[in-house]
Amino acid sequence: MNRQPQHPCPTCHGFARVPVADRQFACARCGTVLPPLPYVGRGRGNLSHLSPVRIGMKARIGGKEFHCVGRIRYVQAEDDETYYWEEWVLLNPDGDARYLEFDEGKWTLSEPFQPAPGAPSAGEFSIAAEGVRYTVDGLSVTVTDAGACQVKTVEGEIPWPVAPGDRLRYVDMEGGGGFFSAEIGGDDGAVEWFRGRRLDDRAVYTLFDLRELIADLDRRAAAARSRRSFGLLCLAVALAALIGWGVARGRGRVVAQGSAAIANVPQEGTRFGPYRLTAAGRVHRLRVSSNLSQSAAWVQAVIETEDAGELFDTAGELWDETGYDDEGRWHEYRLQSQSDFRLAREGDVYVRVYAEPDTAAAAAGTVSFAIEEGVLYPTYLGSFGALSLVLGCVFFLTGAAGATQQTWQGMGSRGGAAGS
Amino acid sequence: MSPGHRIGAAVLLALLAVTWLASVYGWGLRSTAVADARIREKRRSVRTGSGGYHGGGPRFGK
Repeated sequence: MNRQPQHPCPTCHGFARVPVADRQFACARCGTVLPPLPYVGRGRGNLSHLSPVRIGMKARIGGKEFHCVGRIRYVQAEDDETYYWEEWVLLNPDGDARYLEFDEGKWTLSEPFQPAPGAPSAGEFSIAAEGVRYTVDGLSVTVTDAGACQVKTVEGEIPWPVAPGDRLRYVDMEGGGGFFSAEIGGDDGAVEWFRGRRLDDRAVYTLFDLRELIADLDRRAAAARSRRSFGLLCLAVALAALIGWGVARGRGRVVAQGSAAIANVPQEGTRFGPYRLTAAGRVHRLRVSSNLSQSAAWVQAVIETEDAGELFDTAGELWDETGYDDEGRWHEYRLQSQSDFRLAREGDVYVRVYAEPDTAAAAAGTVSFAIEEGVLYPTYLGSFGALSLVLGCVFFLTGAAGATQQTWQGMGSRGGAAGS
Repeated sequence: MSPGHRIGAAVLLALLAVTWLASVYGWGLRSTAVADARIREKRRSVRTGSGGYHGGGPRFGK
């Protein structure tokens, strides 16, 4: 594509044309209304927008004012996939051009340049593929992308011949902190060189002085920071709660304990005590356990008053079993049962232990109990910790992604003319 | 943080404090204030085989 500006304004010789009322274009420098450029196949307005840039916008680049005069959309078919990207043509009235490419959400601003002698020729680019290295302007650069594409649509008043269907080869390279692109087109295989840099949304909005969008970026960045901060706080709270949960699952201070042989526990149980419990209003844990082996027994420990009034218990089917299967030896057991309770008032309590052996071998085991004080009830802390953890992850990740619709996505076209 | 997140943070910290207190003082837990008749019933059902304990465990080939 020969990107030499043609058809200057007859009044001031400027090349940039911008849309004015009634679908007309005027010289960006002197305002003279100009007839349409004599190129065919240009679009007329229904090209969808992928970015907030519109024909007629002004950008300030390096202290110089550029007018957005048109847009070229390219298409590339490769491996059963079709890729589209677009290039905004920014033109200074004196004919100086910049190209703003928007490809899958990424911006690249480039300018034409003539590299020093020794730059690769069209023939040398025939083997260009990702990873191939060349030397451009004394810099070692690596090909990041290479292929052939086609102009899909053209919109606006671009003052050189370019039309849908035009084909060109391109080679994109990076190195020395910069971006280089070679465009090989036309019958003569001439190479047009471009160099540039990647831009983020904020840089592009700043070029076009899109203050509303910059403010929106700031707002979204602040909202994302706030979500991340809240997420971090949730994670810290979750950590505190889960540490508490871990502590609560540990042992408290044993204030009463005892044990009996299962064979010696009568039907009415074996009573232990009295034990004086003093931490009124606090959580206590009653634990019953056994040393069963290859046997099972149902056991119960009951806290009762002096006159055998039953206040609290913990019970369970305790068992221990070993066997062999296809994967070898296995050993499963459940040898403890525990429950937490709140001591209503200070006083003496007794513990009565019951044991019902399910197997003859169980009679050889013992059953033990313990009352612990100074424990934390783990369920509340565990549940709250898990909930806070989920909440923290959600807020932190959504804050990191910043996945909110951008303001410009609701903007209409400023271009007015054109369409494909 | 935004005002909304600040309020959320305050609520979260308050909930952590309440949760911690509930864990320390056992709010909502069974207490030893009154006798519990279900304890005796639990034992009776085990002995008569009418309850859910006998035969309930994954043991000995089950």
